Amino acid sequence: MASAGSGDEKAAAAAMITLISSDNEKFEVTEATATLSQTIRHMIEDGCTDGGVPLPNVTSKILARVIEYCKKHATAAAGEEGSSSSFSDAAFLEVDRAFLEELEEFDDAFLEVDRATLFDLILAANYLDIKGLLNLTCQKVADSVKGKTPEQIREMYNIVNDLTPEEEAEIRRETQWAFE
Amino acid sequence: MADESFDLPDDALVQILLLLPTSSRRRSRLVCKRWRDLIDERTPEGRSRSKILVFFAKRGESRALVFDDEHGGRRRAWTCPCSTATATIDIVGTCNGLLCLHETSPSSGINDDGLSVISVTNPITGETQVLPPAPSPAQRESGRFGGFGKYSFGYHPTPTQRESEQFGKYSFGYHPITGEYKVVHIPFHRDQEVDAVWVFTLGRDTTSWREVPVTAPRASYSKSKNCGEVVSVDGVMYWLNAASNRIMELDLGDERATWLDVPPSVWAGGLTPEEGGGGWRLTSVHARLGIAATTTSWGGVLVWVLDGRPRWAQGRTLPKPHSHHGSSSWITAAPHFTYGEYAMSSSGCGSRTRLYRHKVGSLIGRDGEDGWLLRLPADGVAELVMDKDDGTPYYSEMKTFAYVETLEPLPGY
Repeated sequence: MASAGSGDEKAAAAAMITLISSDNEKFEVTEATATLSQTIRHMIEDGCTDGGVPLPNVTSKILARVIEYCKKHATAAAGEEGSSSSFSDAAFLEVDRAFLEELEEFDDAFLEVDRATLFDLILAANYLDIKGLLNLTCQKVADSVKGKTPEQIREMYNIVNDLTPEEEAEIRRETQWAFE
Repeated sequence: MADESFDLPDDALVQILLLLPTSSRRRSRLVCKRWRDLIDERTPEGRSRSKILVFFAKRGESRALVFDDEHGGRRRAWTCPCSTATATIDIVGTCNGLLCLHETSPSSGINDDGLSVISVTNPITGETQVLPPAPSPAQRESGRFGGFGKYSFGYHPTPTQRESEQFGKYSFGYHPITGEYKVVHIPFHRDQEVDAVWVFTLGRDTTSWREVPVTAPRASYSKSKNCGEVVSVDGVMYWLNAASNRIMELDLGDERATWLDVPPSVWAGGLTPEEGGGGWRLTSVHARLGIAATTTSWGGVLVWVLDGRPRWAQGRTLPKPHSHHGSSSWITAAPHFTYGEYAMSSSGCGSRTRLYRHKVGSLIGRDGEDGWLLRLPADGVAELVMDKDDGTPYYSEMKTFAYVETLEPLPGY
C-alpha cells in the first residue's frame, strides 16, 4: 500500500511544469493545471517543456491569476470525471452541485478586476488558448456592451469612430435593408 | 494601456461579438470600421437575405404568406385567427422579423366602442406581446387611461366607417442607434389635425402610452386609403398631410416632428395620391423613403427616393410587367416597394391576385457628386411570385413587406 502511494506521488511530481512569465518569474504547476491551456498541452505533447515554458506575452501578475483560474477549474474537471465514472449516488450529486455553485462564486469573484486586468486576462486566455477563461472574460465585456448605443460603447472603451458620415449612413441603411 | 483602447486581437473581439444578442450585435456595426467588418465577415448573420411577406387582412381570419427570394416559392403560411367573427387583424408593419398587428372590430352602436388591440409578435419564435390600449379620444380629453372609454364631442363612428378612421393610424418602427422599437399612434381627429401622437416603446413603456406633442405647424394627416399609410424607414416615420403637399416626419430618436415638401415634379405630372389604379404613394425603397407613381396610361412606375434631405433623386419608368387577360391594372406593391434586388408589383381581377417581382438591382447607385440616382433595370422581365384565387377578393387589402426571418427577442419579454 505504502509503495503504491509513493509511486503516485512520484508520478505527480514528474508531471510538474514550470511556467516562466515575461518578467522571468517561475511558476510550478501540475500538468493537469497547465494543460487547460491548449497551447501548453501541445508543447507538452511535442516534448519541449524541459527547462520550463517561457511565456513572453504574459506578465507574472497576470500569469498568477491565470494559474489561479486553471487550478480551480482543473480540480473541477477532475471532480467531474470522478463522479461521472464511479458514483451516481444522490449524496455525491449533492456534493457536485455544491461544488459547481462554489465554482460559479469563484468565477464571479475572479472577474472583479479593473478593465486593464480584464483585457490582459483576455489576451492571455487567447494566447494560451484556454477556452473556459476566454469565454468567461469575453462574456464580461459582452455584458458591458449589451444594450449600449454605439456612442456609449466608443466612450466606454475609447474607440475612435473612423467611419465617415457617409459610411455611417450606409451602415444604418444596410442594417435596415437587410433586416427590414 | 489596455484601458485606453480596445486593443484586443480579432479572435478575442469576434468572441465578444458572438456573445452579444443579435439586436446588440446589429447596432454594434456602427461603432467603427473594425467592428463593422468583423461582424460582417465573422458572425453568422452577416447579411441575411430578405424575403417577401404578403399580408391579407380578412374579417375573421387574416393570413401572412412568406415567399422565398431564391426560387420564388412559398415558404411559410401563417394564419392569424381573430378573437371575434366581426374582427379583422391588419398588419401595422415589420422590423427585424417582428410583426406589429392591429386587431379591430367596428363599433356596433352607442354602447359599443369596438375593439382595437395592438400586438407585436415574432412568428418564428412564437413570442407575442399584447400592448395596452392606446387612449381613446374621451380618455385623452379627461386624462383617464386604461380600458376603453366613450368617444367625446358627439362623434361616434358608425359600423360602416373604416376602422382606420375610427381608431386613427398606427405605425411600427425601429431606431438603429437606440435599438428601440416604437409603436406610434396618430389619433383620429375630425379635422385631420395632429397636435400630438402617442408612443409606446417596447421594453420600456410597460403600462401606458406616452403623449408626444407635435409642434410642427399645421400638422395633419391624409385620409387617403393608400397614400395615407405611415411609412417607417431608418428610425423615422413619414406620413402625408391632409393637403398631400407635405410629408410629415417623426424622428423615433428624439421624437420631434418636422415636415418636408413633396417634390414639385410629383405634382407637375398632374398626378394625385393614389386612389385605385393610378396616382402616387409613399413607400419604402431600399430603406429610404420613396414615392412611387403610376398611371394606367404610362404602364410603368416613376420613383422618387429621398436622399439627403431636401434632395430627391428621381428615377424613370420601370417597364410594365407582362399583361394578362383580365388584369384590371397594375399597381406598385406597398408599403414596401422593394426587397433585396427586386421591385414588386401586383395586379388583381376579381378574387384573383398576382404578385410580380422585377429584378432591378439596387435602385440606387452612387453616380458622380450629385448624390444618389436611380438606375434603370436592364430588362423588365417580371417573374410571377404569387397567383392566388380562392374565391375571396383580397386584392385591395394586400400588403407587401420585405421580411427577414430572425430569432429577434421581443424587448423586455
